[in-house]
Amino acid sequence: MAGFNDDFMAQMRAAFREEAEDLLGELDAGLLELEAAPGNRDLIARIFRAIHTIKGSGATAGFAKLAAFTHRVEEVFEDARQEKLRVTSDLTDVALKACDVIRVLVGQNESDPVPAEAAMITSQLERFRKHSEVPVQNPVEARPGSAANGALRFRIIFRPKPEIFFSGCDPVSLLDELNGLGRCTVRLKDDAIPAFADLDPELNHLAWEVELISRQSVDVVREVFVFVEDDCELQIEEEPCDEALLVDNSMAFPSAALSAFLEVGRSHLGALEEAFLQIDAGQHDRIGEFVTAARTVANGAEQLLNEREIPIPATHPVAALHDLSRAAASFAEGFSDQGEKACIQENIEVLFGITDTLKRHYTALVAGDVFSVGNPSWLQRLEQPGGASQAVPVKGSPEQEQLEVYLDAASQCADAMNGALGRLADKDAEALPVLMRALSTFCAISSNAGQTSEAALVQPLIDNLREILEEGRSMEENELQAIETGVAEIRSRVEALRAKTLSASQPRPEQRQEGETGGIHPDKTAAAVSSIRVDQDKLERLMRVVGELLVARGMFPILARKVEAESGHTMLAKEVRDAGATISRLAEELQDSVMGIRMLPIKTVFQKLPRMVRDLARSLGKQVEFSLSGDETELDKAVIEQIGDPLVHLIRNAVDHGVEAPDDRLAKGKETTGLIEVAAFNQASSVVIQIRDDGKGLDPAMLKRKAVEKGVITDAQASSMSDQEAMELIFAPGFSTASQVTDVSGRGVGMDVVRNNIRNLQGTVSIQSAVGKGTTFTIKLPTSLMISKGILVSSSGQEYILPIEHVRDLVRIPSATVRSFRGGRFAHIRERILPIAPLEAMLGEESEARTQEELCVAVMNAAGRDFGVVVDKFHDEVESIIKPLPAELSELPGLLGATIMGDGRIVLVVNPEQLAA
Amino acid sequence: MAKTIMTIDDSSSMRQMVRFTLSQAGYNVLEASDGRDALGKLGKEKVDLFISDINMPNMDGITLTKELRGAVATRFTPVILLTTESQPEKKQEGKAAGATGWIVKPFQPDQLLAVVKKVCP
Repeated sequence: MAGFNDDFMAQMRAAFREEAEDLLGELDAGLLELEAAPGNRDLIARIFRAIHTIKGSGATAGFAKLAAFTHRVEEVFEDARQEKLRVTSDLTDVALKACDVIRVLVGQNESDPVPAEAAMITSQLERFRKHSEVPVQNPVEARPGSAANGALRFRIIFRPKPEIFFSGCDPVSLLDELNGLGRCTVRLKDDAIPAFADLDPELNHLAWEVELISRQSVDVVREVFVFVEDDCELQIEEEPCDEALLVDNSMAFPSAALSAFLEVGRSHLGALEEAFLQIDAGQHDRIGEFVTAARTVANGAEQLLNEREIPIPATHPVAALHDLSRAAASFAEGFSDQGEKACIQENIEVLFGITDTLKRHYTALVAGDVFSVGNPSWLQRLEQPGGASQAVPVKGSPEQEQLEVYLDAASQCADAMNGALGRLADKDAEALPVLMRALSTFCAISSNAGQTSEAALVQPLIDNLREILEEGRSMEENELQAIETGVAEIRSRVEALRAKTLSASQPRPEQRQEGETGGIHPDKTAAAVSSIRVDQDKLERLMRVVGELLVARGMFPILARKVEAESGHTMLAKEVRDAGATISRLAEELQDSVMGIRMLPIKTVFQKLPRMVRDLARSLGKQVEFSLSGDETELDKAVIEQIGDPLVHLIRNAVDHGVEAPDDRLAKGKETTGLIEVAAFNQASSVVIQIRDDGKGLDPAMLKRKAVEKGVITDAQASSMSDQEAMELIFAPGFSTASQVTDVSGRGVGMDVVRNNIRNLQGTVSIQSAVGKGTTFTIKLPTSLMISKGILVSSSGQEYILPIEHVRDLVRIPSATVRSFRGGRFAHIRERILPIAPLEAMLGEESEARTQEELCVAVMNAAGRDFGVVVDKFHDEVESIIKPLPAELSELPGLLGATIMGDGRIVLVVNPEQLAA
Repeated sequence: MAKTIMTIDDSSSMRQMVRFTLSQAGYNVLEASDGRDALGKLGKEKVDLFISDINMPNMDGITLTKELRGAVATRFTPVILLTTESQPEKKQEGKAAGATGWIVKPFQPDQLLAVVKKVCP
C-alpha cells in the first residue's frame, strides 16, 4: 500500500514538473510583456492564473515549500488584479527573480533547502504590498459594470428544465445562494404547471423571477448557475441602481404603528418566552399560551405590514417576525392537544429555536435594522420556501402542511378515478390508462406521505389493472366492482383524514379579525385593566406628603398629654387622642394605598431569571432545576428597578460557583441535577429574597486562605475569625472565590458591588452556607424606601434616630461590666463580648464619661458585624421620612440624613454602616 | 445531522485528500475505489452527495452516474464529477448522464468545500 502511494506521488510530482515548466515559460513571457504594458488587466489575470496553478498543483503534488513561496508571489498579483497595487518595472523585476526561485524549487526535492534569495524576494514582494495600501485607480481598464463597486439591480429569470431534479440539483439552494449576494426578491412563476392529470410529480414545472440588488458583478451572479447553465433557461439583466436600494430607506413604517407593534412585541414575546420555559419544564398545558402569544405577535406584525402600500421584503425583521411567529403558532398548535406527549425533546428544541430567533428578530427591529438576522437553517422548514416577495402566512406546521398537500392531491386522484370509472361503465376503454395513472399516482403520493396503508390498499388494484392492460382485454364485471369498492374506500379514508386535520387547525379562522382589532388578543382586551399614566414626580410628591402626614400624626399623643397635664381635662385629652387615632388610621390607609401605587410585583424581575439560568447552565454543562416562588411579592418601584442586577449576579454565582458539574455531584452522592430556589416573601415591614442552592457551599478555611493571599486580611485576623465572619469575606472588595475568573460570573463585578447595591436600597444581604450542602443568600429589603422606622435615642443632650433594620437589641448593662482593652471598650452582652462606644464618640464628637450605674446600649448590626452603641436614653420607636442633609452638611460622617418629627423638631438619622466602619 | 458524502476514486491518495478535507469540515465520508465498489456499498447508509472521478477501472464515473440516476434511492442525489481542464467533452458527457456539477482537477481543499456547500447545502 505504501509502495503504491509513493509511486503515485512520484508520478504526480513528475506530472507537475512538466506542467510547471510550461507554466513558468508562460509566466516569463507574460511578465516581460507586462513590463511593456503595465496596465494590461488581461495580462495580469493570465499571470495570476499561471502562478495560482503552480501553487495549487504544487501543493497537491506535495511541494509544500514551493507552494508557500508561490503563495507570496500570488498575493502580489492578486492585489494587482484587484487594482490595489500598480505594476511597476521594479515589481516585474522582482517577479522575474521569483520565477527563477520557483524554477529551482520545482526541480528540487522537498527535503532540499529553500534557495537563499527566496527570503529576500519575499520581503521585497511584501514591501510592494505595503506601499500600495491606498488603492490605485487604473485609468486604462475601467470597465463599467463588471467590476461593480456600485449597486446593480439584476433581473433574473430562472426556469429550470423539467428534468432538473434528475441532475441532483435543488433549485431552491440556488435561490438561497442568490439571496446571499444581496437584497433578493423572489417571485414564483407557476404558469407552466400542467393540469393535474398530466402532472408528473418528479418533474419541475416552476420558474422564478428574482430581483437582486447587489454590489456583486454579473459574473458572480452567473457563477451561481454554473452547474445548471445547460439545464435551464436563464436570463440575467443588469442595470446600475441607487446605492440606497441596498439598504432600503423606504422600508419605513408609520412611527405610531411601529411603536404600537414594538409594545405588542415586547409584552407578548415576553409571554411567549415564559410559556416556552413552562413547556420546557413539562407543563404542556401552557402550549395554548405559547400559541396565543405567537399569534398575537403575528397579527400585530401583519397589521403593521398592512400599513405599507409597497410590500416590505421578506428579509425585513417585521416580515421575519410575522412569518416565523405565524409558523410558530401553527407549529405549536399542531401538538397542543397531545398532552404530555407534546413535550418531547424535538418539539422543545424547535420551540426554543423559535423563541430565540423571534427575540433576535425583535432586537434587530428595535435596533432599526432593515435586514433580519435570518432564521437558522433548521427552522427553514417552518417558513415558506424560497422567501417570497411578500409575507404570506404559512398554512401550518410542516407535517400538517404536508398532510394537507397530500390530501388535496389524494382527493384529486379520487376524483380522477371516479371519472374514469364512470367512463368504464359506459364501456369507454380509453379510460383504463387514465384510471391506471390515477391509481399509481395515488399509490406513489401515499407512500411518499407515509400513508402506507392507503398505498397498500390500491396496490392489488394496480396489479390487476396492469394485467388487464398488458393482456389488452376488457374489464370483467367483478374486477370493475372491486375497483369501485377500492375507490370508495380511498375516498372515505381521505375524507376522514381531512376531518382530522381540520379539527387540529380549528382556532384559526378568527385570525384575520384579530389582526384588524389591533393585534391584541380578545382575551387580553377583556382582562385589561384601565389605567392612567402618572408622572413619577407627582407620585413622589404625594408620597412625601403622606409620609409627613404619618409623622405629623405623632403630634396627637403629645397634644393629649399636654392637655391632660396643663388643664387636667382627661376627657378632652381622650378626645384628642381618639381623633388622633382616627387620623392615624386614615393616614395609614392612605399610606398603604399610595405605597400600593408604587408597588410592583417582583415578577418583573423574576421573569427573566429562568431563561438566564437555563442558558447559563447549558453553557456550563450543568443540570439545574430552577424554582421561583413568591413572584407576587410586591416591592417599591425604585427597589424593583435596582434589585435586578444584584439578584442576577447572585443567581449566576449560584449556577457558576455553587452548583457542581453533574459528574462531581454524582461523585458526592448527590442527584446530578442541582437545585436553585429563589423565593420572595414578606417579613414584617421587609421583603426577603432568598437564593438557595444545593451546591458545594462556601469553605471558610479556603476563604480565609484566599483572603490572606490577596492581602484582604492578615494571618492573625484569619486565625481569630469565626466561620461566619470568614464567609462574609466574599463581600470584601477585591475578593473573588473563583480561582479562575470565568466569563459567567467574575468579570470585575464582585460581591462587594452586590452588597453595596443592596445597601443603597437600605437592604442587607447575609449568607448561610455549609460545605458540600449548599449556600443561601438572604436579601432583606425595606418594602418602601420612603418611610423608615427607627429608634429615637438621646445622647449628650442631642436626639438621634437609629434605623430599626440595624438595631438588634436594646439593653441596659451595669457600667461595671465594661472592660477596657487596648484602647477599646468591651462589654459582656447576652453571652457575647462586643465592642461598645458612646454614640457621640462614634460620630467624632467629644464624649463625656458617663457616670450612671447602668448604660443604655443599642446592639447594632452593620457591615457584617455587631457592636454596641452607648446612649443616654432610649425613647420611642418612630416612623420618619429621611431627608438628605443639605450639601454643606452632607460630609458629616456617620449620618444618613435628617427627619422632621411630629412636633417639628429636627432629628439626625444615624448611618450604622459608617458607624461600623 | 452530519451529511454523508461518498468519494469514489481509484487513487487512494486522492480519496484520502477528499476524506481529510471533508471530515475536517464535519462531513461523514465513505470511500469507494470505483463505480462498482460504490454501488456495492450503497444501501447501508443514506448518501447525500457523491464525488466521483471519471476514469476508473471496472466502472467509470459516467456509468456510475447513470446507474445512480436509475436507482430510486439516489436518483435525486447530487453527483459531482472530477474532471480535468483538458476534457471539456467529458463535462458534457457527465452532465448528460445526470451529474450535478464538476470540479476541475487539480483543486484545492477550499474549492472542493465550496462546491460541496453549493450542491449539498
